[in-house]
Amino acid sequence: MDENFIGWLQYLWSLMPIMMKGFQITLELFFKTILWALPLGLIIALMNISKFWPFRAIGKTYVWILRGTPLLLQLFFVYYGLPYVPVIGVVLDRFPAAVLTFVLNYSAYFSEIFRAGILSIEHGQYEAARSSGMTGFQMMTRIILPQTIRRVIPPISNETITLVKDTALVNSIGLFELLQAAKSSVNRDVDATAFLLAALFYLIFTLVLTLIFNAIEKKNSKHEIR
Amino acid sequence: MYVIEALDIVKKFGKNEVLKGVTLQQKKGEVVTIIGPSGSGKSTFIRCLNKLETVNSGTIRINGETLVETVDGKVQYAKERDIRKMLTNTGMVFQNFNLFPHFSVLQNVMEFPVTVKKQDKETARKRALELLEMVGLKGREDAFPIQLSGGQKQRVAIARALAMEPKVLLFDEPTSALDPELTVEVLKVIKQLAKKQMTMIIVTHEMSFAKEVSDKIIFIDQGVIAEQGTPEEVFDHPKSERLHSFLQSYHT
Ligand SMILES: Nc1ncnc2c1ncn2[C@@H]1O[C@H](COP(=O)(O)OP(=O)(O)OP(=O)(O)O)[C@@H](O)[C@H]1O
Ligand SMILES: [Mg+2]
Repeated sequence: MDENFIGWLQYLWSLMPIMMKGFQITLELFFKTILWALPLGLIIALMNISKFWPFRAIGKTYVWILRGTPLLLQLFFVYYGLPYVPVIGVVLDRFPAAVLTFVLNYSAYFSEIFRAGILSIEHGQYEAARSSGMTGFQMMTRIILPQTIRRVIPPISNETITLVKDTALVNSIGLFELLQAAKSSVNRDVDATAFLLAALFYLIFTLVLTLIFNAIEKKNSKHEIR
Repeated sequence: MYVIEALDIVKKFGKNEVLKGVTLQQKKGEVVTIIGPSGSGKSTFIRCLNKLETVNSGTIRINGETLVETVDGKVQYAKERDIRKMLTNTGMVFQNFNLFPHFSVLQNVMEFPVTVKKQDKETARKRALELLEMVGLKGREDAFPIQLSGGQKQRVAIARALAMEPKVLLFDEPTSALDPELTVEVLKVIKQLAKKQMTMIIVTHEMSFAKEVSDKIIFIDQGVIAEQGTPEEVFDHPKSERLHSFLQSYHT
């Protein structure tokens, strides 16, 4: 085999530790965002369809602000801006600032998906539940939300894959993660290999997620629609 | 005592007065069938009985308990909690079945007793299996609604309603979404229930079925009961011109 190629493979291998370290942060940011943004998104969605108008007002404003401004701006605001805000004035470390921003931002997107999902459930499902004497809570938890969750899996999976790529934005507040790991290696070694390796990490990650979501969708398809 | 007592029910949708004072008093074991032209208010009336629609005035009692009454022109519904309790006494079967697609057939039938009545799962399961056998669906308990024909779905829906041991069953055009062959199997189940003295209110366009199964026929036209009586009185000796021409439309 070509000596240069073997040398390149060895270089590639030598990049692995720092890349893995970066990827670990990316993963952590990803999972923490999903873990909090999904339930928060559901709560915002429920506020948005509430009969109580103050809830709706809060929910709509929340979604409007977080979907209507750049994620990058939100990130800067939380990390660089919050310390100067009177009263609140907290200084967050890079990682918590990134998680907080992503949770807020993604919960707004998820809430719109949940809202559309809930509204897509046929009126007859509510009537069947109501006419049996179910409470509103029983109706939501037993009948409406389980069906909603099945229906929103495709759009949620799209959004989740976008999130994988959006995690790279935290590079802008100097948080060390996968992209930063690659960038620093490229700068140090004057060699583009680390970027290719980073791309490979993202591709494998999104591929795994796609496969998982496909499997879930397939499992659900047997009792979707009526 | 009446199982269902609906007195002088008025219901408006905006300015459109759909029910203009409809009264029904039904004893235990009676089967009442409501017929009438499209848009006459049949569905609206039956849906008022289990509060899927709220009335503008009138009184409704279910099994002696007051769901709603009108005092000095003011409509007063019972407390939310009491209403939910009353609703366990009225089972509803819908034109479009409204089965829960995420539950199996068995889970569909067990859902209300377990969640609403807090029945233990084993008791609910046993009862559900009995009911499924009764409606001719033994062996299909693990199927999902999507795998069933319309007729099978509707029979599951009947079993689901019966699982609550209601005092009265309400049917809103239970066979209107079904092909003729499938209609037969659903009507067979309802006839069986009539034989067992199940109290039922049925809205239907199946005239020969209505004649066979009912103790009383109510003909609603433009929001009022235009005529009522035994099947013989209503079908064989209609008094009003409106009923006469309505029945004519079914013979041609
Ligand atoms: N939710 C609603 N909002 C406004 N108008 C309604 C509503 N539901 C029913 N109506 C109107 O009330 C009238 C009676 O409707 P209803 O569904 O009770 O008739 P029906 O006798 O059941 O007719 P069909 O045989 O076609 O089912 C109709 O004019 C209908 O347009
Ligand atoms: Mg109708």
